[in-house]
Amino acid sequence: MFASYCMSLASDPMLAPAPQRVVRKISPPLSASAYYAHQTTRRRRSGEGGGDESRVRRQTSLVNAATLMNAVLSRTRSRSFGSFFDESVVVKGCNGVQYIAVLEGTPWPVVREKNYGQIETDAKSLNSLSNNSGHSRRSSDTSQVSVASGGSSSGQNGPDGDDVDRNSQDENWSLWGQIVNDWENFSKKKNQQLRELVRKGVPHHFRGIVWQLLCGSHNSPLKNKYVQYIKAPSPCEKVIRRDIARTYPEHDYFKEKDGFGQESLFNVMKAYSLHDREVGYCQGSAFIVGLLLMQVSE
Amino acid sequence: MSYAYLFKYIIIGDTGVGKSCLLLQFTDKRFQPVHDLTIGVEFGARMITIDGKQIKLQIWDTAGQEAFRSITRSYYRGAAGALLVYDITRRDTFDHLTSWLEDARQHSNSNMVIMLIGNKSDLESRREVKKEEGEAFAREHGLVFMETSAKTAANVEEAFINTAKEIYEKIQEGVFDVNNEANGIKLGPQHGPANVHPGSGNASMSQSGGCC
Repeated sequence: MFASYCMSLASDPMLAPAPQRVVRKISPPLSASAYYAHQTTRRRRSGEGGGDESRVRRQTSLVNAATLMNAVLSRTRSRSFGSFFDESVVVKGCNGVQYIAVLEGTPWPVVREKNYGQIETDAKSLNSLSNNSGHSRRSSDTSQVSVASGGSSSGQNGPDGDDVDRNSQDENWSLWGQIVNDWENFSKKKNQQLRELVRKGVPHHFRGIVWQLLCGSHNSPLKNKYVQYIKAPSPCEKVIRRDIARTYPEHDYFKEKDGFGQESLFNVMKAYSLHDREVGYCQGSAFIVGLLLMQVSE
Repeated sequence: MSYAYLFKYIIIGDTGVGKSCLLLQFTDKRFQPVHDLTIGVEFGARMITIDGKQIKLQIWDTAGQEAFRSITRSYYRGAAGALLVYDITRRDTFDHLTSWLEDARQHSNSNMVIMLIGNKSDLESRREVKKEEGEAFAREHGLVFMETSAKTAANVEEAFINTAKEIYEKIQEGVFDVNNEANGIKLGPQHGPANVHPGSGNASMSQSGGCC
């Protein structure tokens, strides 16, 4: 797949002569535990019962970067991957509509393909969402500045702005919470509304879950296979290892040598090389996996 | 800045031998122990002076993995010089030189100057390929040879500049036709025959200059 993508890159006169890659700076992901912490404090504040928490938890356990990776890659196999290197990745929706998630430090607004103007506006308007949540891995603020949204208004809101943000955020959260809990129904009956919501941007903390629901990887039979792949040796192991440290080397999650991030990255890459033996491992695909791992667990 | 000539280079070799590090050391004079792996192609540029003339080197840095060979191949065309890099601490990267050389010879113009580079000379303790072996390979295939270290910057300047010198000599000898851009050489703005806007800022010239 990558080979063919590359060929299309090389033959495309618009893309080929300008290979200077922008160093992507993407904010560290929010871990599941931080998500629960946030959820709980929210509930306590608003006096909600914890009744649906177990349901949310159940949904989150479906999070799996490996199957998501497979879903994303296999569905976009025949499509040009050019957009990925424009800081975005194509995610195919459950209803056959293509979405692009923009890789930014702020929430990734998911919009219809090629709607770049919209993306920027969305990124700015949604900046506040990721603003005051408890980011567990947010150790260095320097990696927060994103390319397109250019570190816009976030953090500079006055107290009033913060209140407004928090209210709209709470609304957004409960709505997405309902959607995720009742995915089957919602995606069937209120498809149009879902589309619009997705285009406005899935809140940071739901993104991992929603992506999987959208591409249907949450109940993929491949999950069982993954366990086998992890144990099996792959002929590509050596080459994959060599590139692990060279994938997002400055990102907090991946920079630690043999750390948790690097290990997950390696596992998913190895599993993919066993699953898709024709491709095996191709340099650059670890960037896609790394990106998914920032949102969902291995 | 204006230049008399622009030379197009390409850096090739197995993955992880230090191609991007060599380029970074040459263009930025720094070394990054861990940096992003190269996907497809990247490039850098730097001015050097040879024989009192300003020469701009435009260097294309390629991805080493086999899967990217088809892209790399399209960059040989129109290159005046190539740096063929291997890692002295990994024998397999040396063993693959023949296939790289074949590729280079097949897809480039016959006058392209190829410099063989054994990189990571600072890692003497882990050396797997003797310097003599590199020399012998270079002699056998008519290449210029040098051992470098992108980390300590040893011989890095020399590798790029010696290649440029050789190209420059070939120009003087009339081997290269400087008006044919397929040779990877371009005359600077003030020398260019097809210079439409003389002196109207070099930025636009250097931007449009020499991209394949």
